Amino acid sequence: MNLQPVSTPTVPPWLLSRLRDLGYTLLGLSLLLSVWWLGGYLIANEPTTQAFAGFAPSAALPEAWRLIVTGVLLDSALPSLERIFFGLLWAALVAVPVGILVGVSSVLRQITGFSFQLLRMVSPLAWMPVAVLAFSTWDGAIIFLIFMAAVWPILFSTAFAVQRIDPVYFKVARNLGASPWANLKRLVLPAITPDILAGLRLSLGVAWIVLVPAEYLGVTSGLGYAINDARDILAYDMLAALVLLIGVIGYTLDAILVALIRHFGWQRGA
Amino acid sequence: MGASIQIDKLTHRFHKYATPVIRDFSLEISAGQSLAIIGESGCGKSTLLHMLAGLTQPSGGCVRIQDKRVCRPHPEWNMMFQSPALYPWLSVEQNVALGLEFTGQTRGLKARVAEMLELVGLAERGRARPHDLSGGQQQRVALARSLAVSPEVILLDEPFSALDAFTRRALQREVTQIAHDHGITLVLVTHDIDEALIMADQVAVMGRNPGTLRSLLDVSLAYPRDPKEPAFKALRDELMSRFHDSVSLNSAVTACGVAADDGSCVVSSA
Ligand SMILES: Nc1ncnc2c1ncn2[C@@H]1O[C@H](COP(=O)(O)OP(=O)(O)OP(=O)(O)O)[C@@H](O)[C@H]1O
Ligand SMILES: [Mg+2]
Repeated sequence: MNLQPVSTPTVPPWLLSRLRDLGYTLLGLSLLLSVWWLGGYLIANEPTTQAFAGFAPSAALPEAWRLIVTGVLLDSALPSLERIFFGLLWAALVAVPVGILVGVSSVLRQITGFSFQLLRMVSPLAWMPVAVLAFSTWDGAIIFLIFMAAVWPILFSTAFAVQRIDPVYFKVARNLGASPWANLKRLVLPAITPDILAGLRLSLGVAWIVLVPAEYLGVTSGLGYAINDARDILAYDMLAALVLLIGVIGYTLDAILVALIRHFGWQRGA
Repeated sequence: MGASIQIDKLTHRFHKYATPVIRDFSLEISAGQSLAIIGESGCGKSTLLHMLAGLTQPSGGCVRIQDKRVCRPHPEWNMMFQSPALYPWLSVEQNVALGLEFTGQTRGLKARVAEMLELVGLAERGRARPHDLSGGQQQRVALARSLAVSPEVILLDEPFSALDAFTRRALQREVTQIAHDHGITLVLVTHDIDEALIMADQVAVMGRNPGTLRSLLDVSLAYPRDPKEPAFKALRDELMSRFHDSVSLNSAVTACGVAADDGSCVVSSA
């Protein structure tokens, strides 16, 4: 008799768990799609709302495809992405140095603490009239609004990260003869990079939300403008398609930042 | 080769009107010697070591290393802490290179780093990340980082207390050996009486409230020392009794509220 165990082909466990994760994601997506489809079905069968039938996936999905392949999406998204980029850039350029100063100096922390918390709680869109007055171009105004939304998460996470640096790291640097510049370059900046990126991720989320209403302002380009335009010309399939695509682009941007955080994240066992 | 240390009437208060944590502490350590400091928790050992390193400025008295007054930290008198305090965002090699980089000794840096890692037995692990190493290996890297800048004095604040007994014994021998080979003066703060007797030429017993030197014991045993030898055991008993005397003295002092800082408190050797 042959007593050797029969080797059965087994699926490696990591693949199994990946497959399960994918399965859940797909399940969630199809649930979302069914709700969307059901809504569209109800709208189409109700005489008073029939005009909005374009919202249904059957109309919006082909329209989304058309927007992608004809390059219309790209034409709208590029100006928006540019505004987001500059808004976030300015926010980071201001928030990181200020955050470091606030994190280092307890006096500065006390001076700014209340004002910053107050300003943070103001909806970025409340700055709209100010932005319009202060900036000669619409683009400038929109970038300012994005800046106002994006500056706080980066500033607070930077300041907090600086305070959390292990004091013994500073002792080591001082003991080994580090200049202030070396201290910043070798110790402070690398130590807080993961938190700056985490703050940037939060900022991106808010900025992406603020972008669309900000683009209702006078500009004639961008995703917000395109949505407004679709509404004006009663192109509801296009409107629904744009909503979907804004979500997809936002998700992609977030995923890129998550990848960056993973790459620079020394804390979480990288 | 090595540097002598003169501690002259060192006094320290953390607040202007507080009772001093350390009062009139005077001691001389000759070049290439090793001194261990033991004493109750909170008696000011770490504070003393920080002042020797120039990381804390004393309120009174002064420290001279090779006749140079210690005013600020300097790579030539180097401190090692209870935690290895390696920068987790740098590789092992980069951590070892820190002091060389900070002090601008970039010529031959690679070779120096390799030499140091070889010396602490981690030649193969230069590319690793600190958290991929064991606690003992991390403390070895910290040692290599200290040694890389060719210090005259190494100050150790309970550097092995987080390690298991075997690793601790091995590192005690290695550090002692390396210090002898390079003529480095060692000052070691420890809670472990055997550690003091294995590593030091002299053991200082500190009392507390305020921190003063209570007694000084010469350890005239040949290296490497064996805790099982009768002479070692005799010294251990002697040190134990001196330590207990200093502790009971402390409680007596605390009980009647008298600060004892004069010579009468010194317990003479048996
Ligand atoms: N930054 C500080 N501000 C005020 N008091 C302090 C400060 N650091 C230490 N102390 C006090 O000074 C005393 C001595 O502290 P130190 O850390 O030097 O003791 P230690 O002998 O190293 O103790 P341990 O053996 O527990 O490490 C303690 O009573 C402590 O509370
Ligand atoms: Mg201590």
